[in-house]
Parts: sequence; C-alpha cells; structure tokens
Amino acid sequence: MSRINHSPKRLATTSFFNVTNIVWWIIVILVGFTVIYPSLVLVVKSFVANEEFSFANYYAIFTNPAILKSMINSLIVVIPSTIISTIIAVVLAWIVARTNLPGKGIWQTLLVIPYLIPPFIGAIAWTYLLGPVGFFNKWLMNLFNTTEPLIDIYSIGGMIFVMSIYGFAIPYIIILPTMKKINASIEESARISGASTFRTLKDITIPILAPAILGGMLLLFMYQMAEFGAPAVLGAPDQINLMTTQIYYTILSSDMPNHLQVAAAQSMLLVLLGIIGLNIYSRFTKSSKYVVVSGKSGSAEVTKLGKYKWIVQVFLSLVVLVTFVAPMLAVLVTSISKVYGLPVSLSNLTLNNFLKLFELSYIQRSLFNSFVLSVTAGAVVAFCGLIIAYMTIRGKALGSSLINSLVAIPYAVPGTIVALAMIMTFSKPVPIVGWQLYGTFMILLIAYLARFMNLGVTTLSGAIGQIDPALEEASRISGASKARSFRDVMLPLLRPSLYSAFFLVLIPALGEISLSALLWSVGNETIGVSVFSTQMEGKVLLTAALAILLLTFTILLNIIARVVSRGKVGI
Amino acid sequence: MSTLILKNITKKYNKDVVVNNFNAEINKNELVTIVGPSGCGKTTTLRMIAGFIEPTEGTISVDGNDLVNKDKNVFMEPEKREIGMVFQSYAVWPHMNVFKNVSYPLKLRKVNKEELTRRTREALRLVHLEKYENSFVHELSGGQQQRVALARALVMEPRLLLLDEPLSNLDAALRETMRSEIKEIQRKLEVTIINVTHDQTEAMTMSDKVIIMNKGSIIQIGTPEEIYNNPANSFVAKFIGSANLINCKLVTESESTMMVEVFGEHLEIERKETLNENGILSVRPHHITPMENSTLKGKIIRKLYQGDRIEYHLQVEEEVIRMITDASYNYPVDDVIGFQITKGIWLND
Repeated sequence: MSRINHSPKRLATTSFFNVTNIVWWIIVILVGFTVIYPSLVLVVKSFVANEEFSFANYYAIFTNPAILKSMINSLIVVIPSTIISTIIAVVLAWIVARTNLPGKGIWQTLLVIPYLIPPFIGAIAWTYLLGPVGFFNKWLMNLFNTTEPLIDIYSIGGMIFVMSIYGFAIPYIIILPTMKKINASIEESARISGASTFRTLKDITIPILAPAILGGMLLLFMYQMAEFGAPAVLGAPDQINLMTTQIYYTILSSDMPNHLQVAAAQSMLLVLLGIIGLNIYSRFTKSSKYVVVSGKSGSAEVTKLGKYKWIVQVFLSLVVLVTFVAPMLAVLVTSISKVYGLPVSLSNLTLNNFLKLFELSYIQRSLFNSFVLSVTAGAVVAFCGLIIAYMTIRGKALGSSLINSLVAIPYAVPGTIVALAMIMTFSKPVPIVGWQLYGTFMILLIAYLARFMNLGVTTLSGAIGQIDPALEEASRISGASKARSFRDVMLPLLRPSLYSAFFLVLIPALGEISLSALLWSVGNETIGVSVFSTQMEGKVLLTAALAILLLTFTILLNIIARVVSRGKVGI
Repeated sequence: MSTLILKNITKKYNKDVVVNNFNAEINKNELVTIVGPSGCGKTTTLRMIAGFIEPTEGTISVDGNDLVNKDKNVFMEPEKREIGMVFQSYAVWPHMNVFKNVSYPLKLRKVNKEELTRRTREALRLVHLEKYENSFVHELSGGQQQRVALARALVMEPRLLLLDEPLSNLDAALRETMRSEIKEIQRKLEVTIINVTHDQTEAMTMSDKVIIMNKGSIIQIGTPEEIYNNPANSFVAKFIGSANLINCKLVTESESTMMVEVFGEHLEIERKETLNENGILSVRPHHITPMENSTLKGKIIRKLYQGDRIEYHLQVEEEVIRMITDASYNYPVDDVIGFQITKGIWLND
C-alpha cells in the first residue's frame, strides 16, 4: 500500500479530455458539413424561386402534369408491391419459424439472398427474361405461336413485379425474429383456456405479430417510395416515372425555370412522408405489445407439415427460382453470349464481354472509384459511428443526441434527394474555404458519408448499449484512465461491431446508384453509374458482364463480412 | 484511527436529493455495511466513494488525503484512488481469461512479470480459483465469476474494498458461503470493506458496523447488536428483524425503567428518553409468548409452520401481531389464546 500516490488531481484537465474534445468537434464539424448544412440548403431553397422567397415551387409541383402523374404512379406501384411483399414475407417467416420444414437452415439462407442483389441489378436481370426479346417472353411466344411479346416488363406491372420480389426481404427480416420468439406458453395458455388452433391463431398469434408485420410493411413502404434504381431501369423506355425518378429528371431538365428548386419542393414531399413514416414506425417498435415476445427465445410448438411438406417445398423453390436463380442465370447467360437475343447454344458463348470490360477506361475507373469510395466511406462511418454512439450513450457529450438523430435523415430519405441537396449546396464554392466540390470525387464521398453515417451509428449504438457500463468502471477502479479503459475494454468488445459497420456500408456502397447517378462526372464514375449507362445505351452484353462482376464482389464481401463479424452481418 | 471519512456528503440531481448530508467515519480493517431499501441512496454513496459519481457537496478522505473535497474543488479520478471494487454484475471482462482479468490492475501498475504472476496466483488461491487461470467468463458459474471479480479487486492490495450488492445474484446457499469467505479474507488481508446491500440478514451477519439508510439519509449507525437491540426508530425496528410495532402510552417513569400501557395492560420496559406521552412499542415476534391465564388475548388468524418453529398471526383488538414460538406450541387457527410480551422497546416514532 506504499506505492500509492495520493496527490489529488483537479477535474477536467487530463489529456484524454482534450483529445476527446478535439475528436468530438471534428466529428461535429464533419456531420455539420455533410448532413446539416446540405439539409438546410435543401429546405430553404425549396422556398426560393427567382432569388426570392415564394411558394412557387410547391405550386409548380401540384400543377405540372408530369410531376402529378409521378405521384400517382408511385402510389400505384408501391402500395400493391408492398402488400404483395408483406404477404410473401409473413408466409415465408411462418414456414421457417413455425413448421417442421426439412432443410430449414438452407432455406433460410436461400430466402434472404435477394437482399444482397441491388434492386436495379434485379430489374436489369428481369429485362433479360421479360424484355421484348427476353428468354421467357420468347419461350411464351413460341408456346402460343405469336410474334408479339406477351409480357412487357417496361410497365407499371413490371415495376410492381420486380419491386415485390426484391422487397420482401425487409419485412421478412423484421417479422422472422418475432415469429420465432413467440413463447409457446402464450399459445398454450390459449389452448388450455379452450381455444382451437384456429382461434388461437386469430386471437393470440396474429395480434401479437401485428406490430412486427405492420412495422415491416411500413418500413418497406418507405423503402419502396425511396427506391430509384429499379423504377429508373424499367420506366426509362416508356417514360413511366415514379416520384424519385421524376425528381431525377427534374434535376436534369436545365431548361425548366428553377428546376433545382422545384425538385427540392418535390423532395420535401417525400421527406415529409419519410418523417411521418419513421415516427409511426418507432411507435410500433416501442409498442408495449413487444414486451410479450421480448423474453427468452421461444420453444414454440411447430406445425407438422405432413403431406403438405412437398407443396411447401415447391412453393419455396418457386420463390428462390423467381427471386434468385432465374434472374441471375439470365444475367450469367447474357454475360457470356456473343449476341443478345439468340437462343442459348455453345456456339453463342464467349468470355469476350468480360475482356471488353477491362478495355474500356471508364469501366476501369468506375471499378477503382467505387472501391476507394466504399472502403473510405466504410472506414470513416465505422469510426465516426463508434465515437458518436459512445459519446451519446456513455459520454453524454454536448449535442450528441441531436447528432444522433440528424444522421438518420439522409438514410431515411431517398438517395436522389441526398444527391440533390449535395448539388444545391456544393455547386458553388464552399463559403469561406472556397472549395469547389461539384464535379469532383469529393462530392461523391461526402454524399456517401452523409447517406451511410446512420448505419455506423445504429450498429455501434446497439453494440455499446449491450455492454454493461460496469465493465468499464471495473477497469477505471483497477487503475486505468478513461482512454486506457476504452482501449482495453471497449475496443476489443466492439471490434466485431466495427467490422459489421464497415461491411454494412461497404456492400451497398459498392453497388450504389441513386447518389452516383446524379453526382458522377467524367473521371469520377462508379460501378452503378457504369451499369446504368451501358444499360441505357443498350450495350446489353457489357451490362450483364458488369452486373456479374458486381454480384461476385457483393457475394464475396458478404462471405468475408460474415466471417470477420462473427455472424453479425452477412447472410 | 479512522481510515475513511465522509463529511457532509450530499448528492443532488437537479432538485432531487439522492443522498442527504451523509456523515460517517470508518475505521481501519472494519467491515461496514450500508443497508437500506432500494432507492435509499446507498449505491450512490458507494459510487461517490469509488469516484464514479461526484458529490454535490462534502468531503471524502482516506488517511487524511482528500479523494473529493467540494470546498477546495478537489476531485480524484477513480483510477487514482487505489480502491478495489466488486460490482453487482461482477463485470468480469469477457474478452480476457481469468488470469488476465485478475492481473489487469497489476499490469496497469507496471509490476514486473514474475511478481505479477506470483501475486495474481496468490489472489486466485485466496478465492479458490487457482485451477481456472485459463478459463473464460462464459465457462464460469455465477459464483466463480464473483470470485474472479473479488480476486481482481484484491490483487493490488487496496486500502479499501467496495462491494456493491455482490451477493444479490447468487443463490441462497452460495450466498452464505461467500459471506463467510469474504469475512475470512477481510481478517486475513486486514482490508477495510464497505459493503452495500438491501439484505438485512447479510448486513447483520457480516458486519462490524451497520449504516442504515432511508430516503437518502442515515437513520442509524451501530454494531449489529446495537441496531437490533436498540433500533433508533420504527423504520429500523421493522427493517432489521421485522418487529411488531404496537401503539402504546407512557404511564410512569422511574430511573431505569418506564411503565407503558399496551392493549390496556401495563408493561414495564427499559427506560428511554422521551417527551411524548404516546409512543410505539417495538416487540420482536419471539418476545411474544403464549401464556394460558394471561389477560392479553388474541385470535389466531394465520399459522405458518416453519419446521423448528411456528409463526402465528394474532388479531388483537384492531391490530395484527406476529408471534414466533417453538414447534411444541401447536394451536389451531381461529383459537383465542392468551399471550404475554416479554420484552419491548419504546420508540418515539
């Protein structure tokens, strides 16, 4: 006990405080610059027409027929596809969680694979099947002996179909855990009270699941309203626009007076919708009904499928076929074809498309750019997420909870809107410092950071929330400073979550399209932009090859993510 | 000589007073237990000693050195205080094995490797975990994790050991073992221990001194015997050893005794200073005994058989009182029996 140095120390002067303060203020400035400033510019500019305050932009969106049409189209496409996806999700979740389906583990993996496919790639894939010369259309034409294609994927119906397929993963992922957690005793107590199996389902099971189902549905609705890639691919030939694609075209129509401001006003509608949706959603998830299922993981009685086993297996196979096997096979076959539209035969096969990819300098650049962008964004987001989450939960730092809710905005609104905000904010040199960011690589990076920051914050908040504060306190009382405790206790415990955050950003960033489509410039293309432009130029074979490349990266990264995050991310 | 002195310690959150003017002197090598119902401020007090909470007012010092002194604006960070602490949740680090957990405080103090190994093993031997050096948390039971936490708190030979409800997550049998082990370790290492609990049995069996808290204030400080035999007020009488609290009236006082009226009968008890005419008589359930021809009568409304003894609930006038007898007194429920009060203590409130 003689080793003790008793000299007391004044508060708030240890070096850690200074370092943390500096790091904290750098992050505050970063978030201010990438999120808050552009958001304000977007809101303010939506009320500016011809350099003065007015509601003209809002008047314009409700009088412009094309814009009005896009709102109606959005609802016509998104409402049915959301309902269809949710129904599929409930059925699939029930089969996986509550039946004695054989080979459940494999099915579980196969069913969420579509989640990995960027929807615009899914849409492109389906054009190879259901486009005018698509494989399936041709097969139907042969079958019914007609010369006109029977199905047109470039239509409202086509959008509903593709968005349903690539949407069900969201409600499925939300409903499944709740479905699994329903405690057997809750249902058993209904049975013992005299309820039949059906009555139990109606009176107990469905009401308990309702918040999860409605929550998943709502989230999907917002997600689909924000979707850009799939409607852009499918709507382009016949000029069928949804709200997001209409915003895109409004931004590009430079001959229209105040076109950016009108686009901003259009965006505000979607933003408003998003805010309302998120509010209702958080009410759902906080609903006390969840208490019932938040206990120990359930040992719910499973339904024996018996003779229906085969029907269920066929149904699941069909889902996997439609969402994954058929479209991906179509892309693969197209990518190794010499000529698009000819029947599949050995003489029509080639690897030239892939070789050609690497001859085109803009594709090489886009691969390089996308990798640099995604890795940088992933690393920065993981680091900032760690600091923001830690400061909010443990440090209670000045303004931390505000920062926490602000970073959710760019993730909740459509990427197209984030891109618009960036254009409006950075098209002129930044005040004071004078940086010219528009048309550079930096504007893409800023947009990516703003868009994905929320993923880092939520991932690490969740992880830190689960770590007992006493673990750090035990380290403090053992003699470690705050910084040392953070390094010795928090960092090792949070490492898997840091990897999770990194990959959660990296994977979608690699195939990002809605931001890049508006912010790219010559020399600063991304993979998404290249796929999109080759598709628009009708270079079908190149598009397919590029899509295959992107999918391969995505799947590989997913596997790596799963390993390093110890199963926390990835499929 | 006092080691730990807490002077005028007050903690307020905005206008909420969580700890109100806490004053205590804790002697070297004493095991002091702070006990009280949940929310009484006992854990806050402990965390102020550790340095995780800064008091709003007051001074805490060890051997004359201030840990915190609000008048002089002194605050020592927890890591500088050289205090050992065992947390309610154990807080054993899941990413380190048992040896790493326990040796961590020594590693921070840059103890050389040989000594570090020797002292870590010594600490592990003290808590009977020498065979678990390489185990990880998830491989240990609750009781073993508790021992790891204890070894980690002791390994740097702190002058002061803080225990935050360390036994509350253990089952009854294990709790009893740990109680005596902690007591034994204290005697062996001559360490001052401050234990926080809501369990009055734990407070009574382990402690040299008990501090009873309620609603942020100290109600009574004393040895377990003093507190049991001479509770300061009805809260203490009820909280420690669950006494019957019966309204009574002062009749006469002499030099060493006082005569009180209880249920209309006179009873002579030990004299206590009072200015009131009405008071509360605190009677332990085993100080109520059956007596056939007593004028005090009660109807048995409940009977709780406990093996070696029986607890009866008697309806006497408007009140229900509890009587504990040995198992040979066996009366059926609804019987009216005579009883006597063999001992009681006058309480002013």
